[in-house]
Amino acid sequence: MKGKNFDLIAKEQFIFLISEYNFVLLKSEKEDWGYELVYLNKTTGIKITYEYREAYVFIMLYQLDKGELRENQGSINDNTVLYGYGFDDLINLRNPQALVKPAYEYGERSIYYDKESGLLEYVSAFSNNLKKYAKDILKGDFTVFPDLDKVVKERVKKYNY
Amino acid sequence: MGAVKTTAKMLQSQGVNAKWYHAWSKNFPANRLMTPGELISAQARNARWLNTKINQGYKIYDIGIDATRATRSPFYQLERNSLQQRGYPTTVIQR
Repeated sequence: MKGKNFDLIAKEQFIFLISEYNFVLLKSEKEDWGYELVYLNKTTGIKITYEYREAYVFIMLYQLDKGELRENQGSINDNTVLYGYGFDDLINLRNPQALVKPAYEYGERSIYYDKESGLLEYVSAFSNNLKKYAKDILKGDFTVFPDLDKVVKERVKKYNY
Repeated sequence: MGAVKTTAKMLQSQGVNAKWYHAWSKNFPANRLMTPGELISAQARNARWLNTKINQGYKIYDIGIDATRATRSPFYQLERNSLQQRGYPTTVIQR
């Protein structure tokens, strides 16, 4: 039996955003490289990106600007105003051991490669983390964002060449 | 992937014959995760494509990392290593 495609699984696993935090699913698109889903409530934007070749689910958390999701500008320096941050950086601040790695790092014998439920198990790990570690942001409390800002800007300096 | 495609399209709009490596969905399953074995095959395809473009003398643009991502793509690392090993120059371009 074949498992479900990513978008169907993601809609099921992230349904709590709608039922518990009043988000609406603004966008759900299949691209040639994967999938992208965007959820918004009155204060917060969540972008969930799945890239086949990364075997990973990237989640971005945004503070809405006048109700709209604004993307970060591409070139970042110390003075750049950022509207969104990666969920992985939030996990790294709050409980690094909870960070989910790219699927291939767990090996083909992991539950994530079960033919029927592997992808569901994997997406579920991200949704459970979002439920557990991002409650404040989902409710519109962005007091942790300055800490995430420092992380991103340090990374820019580290990789600048 | 989205940023690479967007940058290539922007260059095309400026008259540059820009190409980008397509990690086509046909090479990846949508209903399960890419396996470690498939990762190796995918990296090999990426490396072959990049080497072909280098041999053809293409100018290589580097959009750098997405600093909001905590993890680095093994594909980006592979491309940087290939370019460094061959001593091939890149042109840095903003995302």
